[in-house]
Amino acid sequence: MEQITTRRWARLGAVVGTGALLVGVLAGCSAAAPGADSGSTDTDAALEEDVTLTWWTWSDSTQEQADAISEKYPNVTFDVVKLENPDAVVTKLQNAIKAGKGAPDIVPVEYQTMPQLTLGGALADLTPYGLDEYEDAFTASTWNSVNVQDQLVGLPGDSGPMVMIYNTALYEKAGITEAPTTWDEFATASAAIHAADPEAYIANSGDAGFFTSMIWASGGQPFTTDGENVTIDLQDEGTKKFSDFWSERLNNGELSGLATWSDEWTKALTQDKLGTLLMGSWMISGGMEDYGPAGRFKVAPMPTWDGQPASAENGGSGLSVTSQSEHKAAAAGILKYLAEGEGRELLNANGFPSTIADLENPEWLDYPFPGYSDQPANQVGAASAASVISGWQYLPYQGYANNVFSDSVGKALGSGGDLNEALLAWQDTLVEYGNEQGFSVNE
Amino acid sequence: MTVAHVHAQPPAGVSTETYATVAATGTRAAGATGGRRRRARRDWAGWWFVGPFMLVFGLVFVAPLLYAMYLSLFRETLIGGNSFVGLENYAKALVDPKFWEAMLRVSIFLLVQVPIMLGLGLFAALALDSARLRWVPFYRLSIFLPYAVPGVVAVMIWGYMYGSQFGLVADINRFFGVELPSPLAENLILLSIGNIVTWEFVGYNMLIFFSALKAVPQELYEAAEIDGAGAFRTIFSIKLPSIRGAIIIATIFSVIGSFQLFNEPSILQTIAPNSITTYFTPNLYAFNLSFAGSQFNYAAAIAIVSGVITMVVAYLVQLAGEKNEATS
Repeated sequence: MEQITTRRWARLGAVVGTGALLVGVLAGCSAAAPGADSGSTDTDAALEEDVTLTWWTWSDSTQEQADAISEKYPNVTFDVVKLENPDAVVTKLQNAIKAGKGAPDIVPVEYQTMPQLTLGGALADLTPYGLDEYEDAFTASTWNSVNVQDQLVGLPGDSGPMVMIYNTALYEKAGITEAPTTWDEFATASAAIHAADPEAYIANSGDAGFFTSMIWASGGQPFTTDGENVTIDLQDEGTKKFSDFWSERLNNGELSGLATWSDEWTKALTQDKLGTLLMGSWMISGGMEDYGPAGRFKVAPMPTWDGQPASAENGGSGLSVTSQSEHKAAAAGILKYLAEGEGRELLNANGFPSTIADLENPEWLDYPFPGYSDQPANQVGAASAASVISGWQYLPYQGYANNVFSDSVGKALGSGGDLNEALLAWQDTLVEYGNEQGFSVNE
Repeated sequence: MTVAHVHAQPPAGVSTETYATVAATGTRAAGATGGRRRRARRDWAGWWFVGPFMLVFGLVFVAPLLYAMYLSLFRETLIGGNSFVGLENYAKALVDPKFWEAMLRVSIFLLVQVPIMLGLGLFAALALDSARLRWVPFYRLSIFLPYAVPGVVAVMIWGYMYGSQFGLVADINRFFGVELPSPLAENLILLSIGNIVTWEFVGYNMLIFFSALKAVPQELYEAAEIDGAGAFRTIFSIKLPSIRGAIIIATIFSVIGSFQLFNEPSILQTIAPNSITTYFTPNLYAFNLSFAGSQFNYAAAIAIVSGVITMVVAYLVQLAGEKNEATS
């Protein structure tokens, strides 16, 4: 009876147009029938049944991967939705979680936003589905990234141990034939490059993701989270070491102000005006051949402070199952397939691996990259993966932190201010925001 | 239980007024297929005409506004959930230095850019209307053309030209051997945005003025000519007073546009992230608060406060315009 009444009211609404109120009521009615998750954790059984999984992505290769998986599991079909970039995925996912519906089953999540999405209740714990068994297969730093607050919220996908990709021609023009191995040598090279060509710079001043990774590689640990207690210290030893160093480069006018990935930045790279990329190893096979003739660029380990190898992760992402998914077991089953063997190969085809076996695979390690004059560049990345400093944590609201980075540190990078002061201003904003959001920050 | 006896389509022979009737409480719906209602208490025919409009108006204007007001009374945090906070968000907005910095910035923009843009638009319209130009349709179209370029594309074109290492500015520097300051630097970015907005909207305003000028009765010009009025006399005594209404409307549009500045800074942010803060304009601030900071409630309050300020300023402009009209 109640249903019939509702339908009549609907027609009344359609006929006389009494406006938004009724429509709101109707929307409320129609949303109230979710096909709830069965709750089963048997992933194999779930993949035997016909199921359609929605898979958001920012990568061009996901559709191919999905097609390949469908061949292996004919009952599983994928609805791949490509979004613009990782930020767009985070925003859309958070909106869906807030709205109570609309989230996909499988979603890629950058390591730096895992804590934020976990806290927002967006990601499902994968331990009950048996994904914790794969711990030993992955590097410590990536496995650490997908474990947030005692939950396993993702399967590591690619990884981004930092390397230095440099323009050999530009360095040679400045009289430097060997890649700098320490930051002191980097400083010397920086001055020489800018002196040899006033339009050329050793690097650009960088964004939030670059800055946090550089702090990490310098041994800093500005963010610590323990439950709801957050500590922020953007003047700890490692942070200060890097920011002092970068301030000096900045104030010497040796850093380009171009935004990473902008058109002008691309031009600067192709026209030999930008000497170095300090980035995750995903950039090794990230299309450097588009920026210059073969052999123009080479891959070197990150410079270090004391000559001892030290590195950090920059970028990289894992695959997660959302808390809203109605097919968690099936989605987790797909992640299991992607964790090892031929499934893993699908993932590795487009990115720098996070699995120990692949990082130690001689065939992969010795692969000569034609773009780098046959340099076996993966070796540099693998060595970097082994020297990533442990213990790093991102903030449980890193997305917001990166967004407001431009208001303080970015501003200083743009107009040549004091970076340490700017870092403190950034810290103030982050402390205030954290406390407002219910954390205990620096208390 | 209230049951409505209404059907989607009026059956043949049944008038709309009888048809669209809400029946009295307790009447049963079953089996009533096209029978006449005995008690037609109100004439609902008017709703057939205003209904579609009211529905859309309610959905896209009233509902979001009410929802924003509702949202602005709460505070949802990452930890601790949702709680009613009354007018706290508004109290915070009123003393938020970031919000007022943004407001100040768009106010400066309004005071400088709008007069320039409207002045150029007016000049172009008067020139086109002067009957001394050949190829009027060509000029009219050329000046209007930038408005037809999508805002995003326009900003990207200008962003490229502004580039001081590889853009047009760089080329000028190299060609003339000068060192122009970078238009994308923090101290010049507002000016650069003003330039883009002017380029985009001069043609639009020109068209408003031009069409108003076309509506001025020819007799007035003839009379002025007989009285010996020159071109400038005609402009100040006939043309400008005649299109006062159009000028006021264009000013109000521009006031609203200035306060709502969003597209240009938002897109330029990708190439000049260090020059444009997340609170560069009130709209950009509200956007970043909600989408980057998940502070939907506070963003709603910011949006409402800046909406009210915009309304007040627009109303003052209108009032000033009407007052002048009354005294002249």
